[in-house]
Amino acid sequence: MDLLAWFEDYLQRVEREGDQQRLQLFNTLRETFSYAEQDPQRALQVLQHSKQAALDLGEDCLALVFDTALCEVYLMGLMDVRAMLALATHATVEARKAIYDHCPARQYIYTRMVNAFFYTDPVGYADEILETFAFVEREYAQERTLIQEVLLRRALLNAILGQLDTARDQALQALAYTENDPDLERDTCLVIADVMRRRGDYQEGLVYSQLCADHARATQMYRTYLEQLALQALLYRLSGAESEAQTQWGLFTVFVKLLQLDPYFTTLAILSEYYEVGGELDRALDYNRQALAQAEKSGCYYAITELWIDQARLLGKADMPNREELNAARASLAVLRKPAFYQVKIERVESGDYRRLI
Amino acid sequence: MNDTKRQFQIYLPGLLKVLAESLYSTKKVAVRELLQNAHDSCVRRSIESKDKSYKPRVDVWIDPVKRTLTIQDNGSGLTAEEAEEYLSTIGRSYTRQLGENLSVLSPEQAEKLIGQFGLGFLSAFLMASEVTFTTKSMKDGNPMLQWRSSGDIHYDLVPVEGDRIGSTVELQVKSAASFILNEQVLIETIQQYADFLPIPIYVRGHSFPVNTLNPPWEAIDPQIAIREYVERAFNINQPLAIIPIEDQVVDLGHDQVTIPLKGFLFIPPSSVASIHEYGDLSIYIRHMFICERQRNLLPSWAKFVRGVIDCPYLQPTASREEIQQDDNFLSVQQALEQQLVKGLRKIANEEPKVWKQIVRGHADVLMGWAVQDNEFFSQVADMMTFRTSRGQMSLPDYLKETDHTLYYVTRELGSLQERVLGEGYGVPVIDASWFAVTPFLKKYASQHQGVELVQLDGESGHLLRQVAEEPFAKLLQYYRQRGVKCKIVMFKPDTMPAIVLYPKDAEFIVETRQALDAGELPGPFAGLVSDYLNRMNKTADEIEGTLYLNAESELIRYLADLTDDTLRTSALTLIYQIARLFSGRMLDTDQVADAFRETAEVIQKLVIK
Repeated sequence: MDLLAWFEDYLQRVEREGDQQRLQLFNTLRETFSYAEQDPQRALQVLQHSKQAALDLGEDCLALVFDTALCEVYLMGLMDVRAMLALATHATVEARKAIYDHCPARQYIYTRMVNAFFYTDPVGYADEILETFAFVEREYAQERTLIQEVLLRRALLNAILGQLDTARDQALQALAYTENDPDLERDTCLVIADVMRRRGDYQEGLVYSQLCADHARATQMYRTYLEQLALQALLYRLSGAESEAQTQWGLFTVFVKLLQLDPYFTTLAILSEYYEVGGELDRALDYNRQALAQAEKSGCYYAITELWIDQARLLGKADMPNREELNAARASLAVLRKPAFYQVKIERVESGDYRRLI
Repeated sequence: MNDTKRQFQIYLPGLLKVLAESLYSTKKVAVRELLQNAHDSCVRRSIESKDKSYKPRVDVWIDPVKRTLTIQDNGSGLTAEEAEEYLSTIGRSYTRQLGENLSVLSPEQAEKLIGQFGLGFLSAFLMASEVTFTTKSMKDGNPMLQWRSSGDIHYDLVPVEGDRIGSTVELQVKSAASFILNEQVLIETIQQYADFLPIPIYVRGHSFPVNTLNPPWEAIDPQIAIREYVERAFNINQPLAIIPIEDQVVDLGHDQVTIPLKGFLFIPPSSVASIHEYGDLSIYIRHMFICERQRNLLPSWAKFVRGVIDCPYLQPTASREEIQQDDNFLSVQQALEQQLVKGLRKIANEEPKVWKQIVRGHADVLMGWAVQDNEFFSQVADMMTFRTSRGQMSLPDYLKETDHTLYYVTRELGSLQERVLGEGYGVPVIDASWFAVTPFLKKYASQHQGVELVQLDGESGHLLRQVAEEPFAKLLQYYRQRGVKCKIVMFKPDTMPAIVLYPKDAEFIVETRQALDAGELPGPFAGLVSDYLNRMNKTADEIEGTLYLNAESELIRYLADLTDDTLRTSALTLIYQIARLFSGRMLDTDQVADAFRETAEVIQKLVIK
């Protein structure tokens, strides 16, 4: 039974039995997602409390579902990859037990753990991650959402590894699996837009970024929405449409104020690039530093290294000393499993090549 | 371009158009914007017209065959100049201009106007491929005009035949907005946005308006009307209490201001966990629906409260789907908090049974608030119930069983160790794992003379009190020589000679290692879990348990003085293995086998002897 069928089954059962407590737990799960991105601390409290309530009621599978939801809050709401990794690993060990044999949340918690490793060090864990993808595709071929997610992660991993044609093909293939599900379409368009940007296909990137933004608004994922507004400003600027870029930038600033949300560090990194492309290196550096500070809190080790390298590169480009930043980038390699991948980038900046790295 | 083609005047080139396209989250808001325009137009006519018999009304039609939606009002209409200036200039609002003019002469009337951003009309293009606006001003000598635009930078404005005062907007509905051509959807949309609008809205010529016109707090018997409304709109039967909301004077420090407020708050019955409630409000401004589930206006402790308010002091955002979180917002927040506190106090004083239901039903949230607020704390302290090892108990009931001491653990109650140790004191133990419980208990103890507070777990030393090692040196030496971590402490119950406790994460690490060794995790995931374990970097020694010998135990004291080494060794071996076996889940198969083997050997020796 897949997760959606399990949900339907559960809901029918508790409605038939008029079980208000279980019904409320189910509704809580659904409702929490509507504010998880905007008020993650509250979502965290509610989900933790609900998980305990599920355990008290003997609903082990539902408790595991709450664990998967908690992982999402850690990632999308708090960008706390460390906490997500700890929770997903603990839950994975728990989920192996026979009592979860018929609980479809098991495979979801497994993949949440893989995601946590992905966001920690995608290059370092690439082999293991690819193995888990093959496992999921083999064992859970009927789970459309899971297969779609795996395909999307494959695309993202290839994009990070610089295999951009493969990344594009996989991301577009993933789009075929979304079947008008706004959440899946949002996440897929986000990856496609990112891949297109890396490939230099700015116009296509804009199309998918706009689609992603539409879905993000419709699904109330406002931080994702903000990120897409920033990305569109960058893509317009990169494609030479300066007035559109500034319009889009204006829109971004209006919505940051209206929504009163802190952008993701990935958004701040996009803004840094936006200013770099516009020749305003001091502002580019400022956004880079803000992004780095947030990345350090999150535990996204690879992003920390990338941002240090980028800071050193920006400083070099601005004819400013960058020795300390290069050293910091090197020091950050200690927690990565395949430092050579980043070492090349550090050396490139060290040699005075300040072109933006893909 | 023919003679009638004219160009839009855009205030902020580029930005506003994009903003308008991006502003709204649902196409349905076009209906609200157009109804609001119709409303404002009627308000203007009632202000400016000398006709005392004037009865404002709005009519809405749909034609699914022609795919049109038509909204007609009998309001003031526009002159050619007004249409030119306000209708076609994005960002210019006639209503705002009128409001500003009127506010000098008639502030009360000005307050009835809703629009202010001049973006509303633009929203028609969310639904329409073409918009036709026909209008005739109530001012004498103005012809009927027809304005037509398909949403590009051009529009037509031409005089047409007709003498009906008012305005008619006809939308040629896009296929993506076809839902609005369904009568039921249309009515629901009107009721969602304009239920409280004080002008009747008729759909397809029906004789009764589809909107209720008046909010429940303006009904003859507001209490009954509000209860019915809560049942209908929130699907909540029998709320525990309803608190009416009225204008409130707020102290700004340098000045005082009266916040115009109408509406009500209500408290739903209890739930699985009261934090699940939203603390949310539905917001209206001058009877026009703005948003639901606004979660920042009520104080953070009031997550168990919900409600509906109408407050013209709040400023909507440009999309008018949210409210601006500005200084006015803060003042309204303050006003609501004052009224809520006042309302709750009144319930506590005048309806103690209801108050008890509220406190019991929403304990978690109220506890958090009580920690912050001394006065409220004193009202709820004795009513709150806590999860204990013997079920839910209020503190006065609890204290009767414990000789005026509150025993609590901050880790979830339920583990065998904590239950044994807690109950070892012969008292119920309070589960303080929920974040607000510990500060609440501390406050309770500090405000109630003679009440003591004892944390049983963690570093508190209450469960396991240090004692001098010297009298028990032989026992400790025996274990340490065997490589067992061992300490002598005092704990209850004294019938328990020893206990083995493990550090944080030890159980997870042991369980994970066992699962990995047994191949219980699917291969590729096992590799990642194993890596996580390695990164925790805990040596076997670090996760090993510690044997705590109980200096209060008669048996331990006897063994400390025993001169027969053989007998003592046998007893200590048994004690250790039994303690380990009680810690159950921490032992792997080999360790369990060893424990049984050693135990059996000792028993055999004793029996033979």
